[in-house]
Amino acid sequence: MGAAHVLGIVSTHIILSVFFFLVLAPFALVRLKDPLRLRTGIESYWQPRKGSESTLERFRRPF
Amino acid sequence: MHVLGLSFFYHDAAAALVRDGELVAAAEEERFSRKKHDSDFPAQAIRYCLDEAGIDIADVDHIGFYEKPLVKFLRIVETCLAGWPRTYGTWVKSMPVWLRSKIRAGKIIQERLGTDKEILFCEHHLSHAASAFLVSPFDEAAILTMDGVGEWTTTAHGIGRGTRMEFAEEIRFPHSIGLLFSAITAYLGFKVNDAEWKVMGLAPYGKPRFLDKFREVVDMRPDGSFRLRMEYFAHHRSTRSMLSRRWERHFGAPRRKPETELTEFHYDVACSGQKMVEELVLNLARAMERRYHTPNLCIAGGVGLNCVANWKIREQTGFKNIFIQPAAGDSGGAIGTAFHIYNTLLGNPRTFVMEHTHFGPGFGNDAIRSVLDDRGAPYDEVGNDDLLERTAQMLADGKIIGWFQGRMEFGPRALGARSILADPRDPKVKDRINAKVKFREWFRPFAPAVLEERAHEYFEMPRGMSLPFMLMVPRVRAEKRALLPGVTHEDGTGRVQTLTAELNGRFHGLVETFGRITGVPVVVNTSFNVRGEPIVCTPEDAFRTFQSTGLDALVIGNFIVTSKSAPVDFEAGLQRSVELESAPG
Repeated sequence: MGAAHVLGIVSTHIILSVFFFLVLAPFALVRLKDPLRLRTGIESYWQPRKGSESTLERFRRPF
Repeated sequence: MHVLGLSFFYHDAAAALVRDGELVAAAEEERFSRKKHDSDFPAQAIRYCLDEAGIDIADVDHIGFYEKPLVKFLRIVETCLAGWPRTYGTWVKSMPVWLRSKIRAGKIIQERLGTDKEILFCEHHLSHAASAFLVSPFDEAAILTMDGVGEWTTTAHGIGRGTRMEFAEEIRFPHSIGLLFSAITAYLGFKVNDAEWKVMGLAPYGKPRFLDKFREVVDMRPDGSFRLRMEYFAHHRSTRSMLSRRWERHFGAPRRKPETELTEFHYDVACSGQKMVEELVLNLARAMERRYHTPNLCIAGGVGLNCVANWKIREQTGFKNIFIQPAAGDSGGAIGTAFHIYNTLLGNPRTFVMEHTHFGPGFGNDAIRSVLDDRGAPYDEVGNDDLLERTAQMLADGKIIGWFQGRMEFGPRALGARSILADPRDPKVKDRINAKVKFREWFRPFAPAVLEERAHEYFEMPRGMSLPFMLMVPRVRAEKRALLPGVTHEDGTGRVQTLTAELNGRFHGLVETFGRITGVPVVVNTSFNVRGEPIVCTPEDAFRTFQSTGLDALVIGNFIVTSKSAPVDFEAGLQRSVELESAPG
């Protein structure tokens, strides 16, 4: 049980590491936009809220 | 119609039940699990809410979750991309728990509750906004939400009218007042998402000599918006650390190790950081004042618990009517989600105003008697008048009392149902409670509970002003400070709770009686718990805390207990609190 648990953790780490360095890498390297708004020098840091109206349909989605 | 609102998986898991537009029950899971800030699925809190309403899960018409799990998940992925490859640690730490459970919040709710009802997902900041506006007394109000982070939003403003709320703009992760305050908390060696109070408590001991340094860390704009200069922070690329090496170089010292000595440097950082947060919050409030032209303001999100900043809004802007959700942090999201579904989505008119927080479990005298009998505790059972008279006399004699009455409070504050009470005229009372009862640090302040009709005599606030939730910090009148050393903080302020007979019942009666005996209708009111533990919930919790601390008496229902079965081991109590608090949470 203990060994299986450790193996589980190790394999999770391996899969996640491979994903991080191989699959995410190209996206990370060609990323053009600035999702975290790390660039400075703009007048206002407010961002408009997109489609915030509350409808049952929107609430049914976890996204 | 029943609507169940849930918040969990970040911190302070909670459940709230709304029946036909009225809040019937609300509770945080930590009170039942006895694990502070418990974030797990709130099974016991849900069970309690359903029991309180006398219904089964099948009778619940709608179930709402307080945020959108998939959006939050994608925010974490995008954050990992933006900081790649330095975000490797965040990635391997957060992905397993997200993929295993958090992303499936909806399914988990269905499985755990044994229901196939659809789950509705409210946005995190809408949950906050609804938790303030929809239960406020206002038909129209400006709404400001500020917290650490939900999905992406950290700060948002809008206007509420009737049952609708419209949000115009927002600031997104990683730029966040809540996370700035957490960074200060971490820098001062306190536990993030738990000990932010300590920074506020420490601030009045310092001078704001680092305020300019903080202004370099935050870029604030006249339109209320702001941005953190991320080179000083680490929360956008790490789950372990809030601040970067550059922050430490900037302020000239490494972060303080927990439980080591606090020096003037730390007081000054706390003071300057608190002032920075006040500037940010005031700047936001002023921008909203110009935009919305209303005297009414609703606030929610964890930053809304910064009572010093709240009072500055009241003092320095045109917002004269301010309603802050008393559970402004994530637990309040459970209330917000439920009301948002009931009022906004389903279009039902608003009929409920949250005037108190007593929505948790209550225990009758029979239940309490059986707990005391089981433990062989000697007690006196007395009528209401005797209870008030004897308790007030004990307080006047300098005794520290555990006060357990009626339904438990929802939110982080004890407001007279699960409170520790004492005489505010005693200059030593603060040290006695901190050292012998709560095992807390010496600098933690205590709040005054005062009769509403007499609050203006003691505090610099208008006559008849109602401050029921300890969310504002007016100044103690200069001529009264010597009279109230137990509740006057270092800077001459006090985190007031005003009491009325209608809303506070027996607690109001007690303070009134104490006022008659001593001439001062004010008592020290602090939460009934020891450091590192959640506030007590049941008579068992209360009795255990009474036995293991320096409380002089337990006044629980109609019973008074004054003797303990064994002497208290204060060293062990302190040790236990330190361990509880340093445990990862």
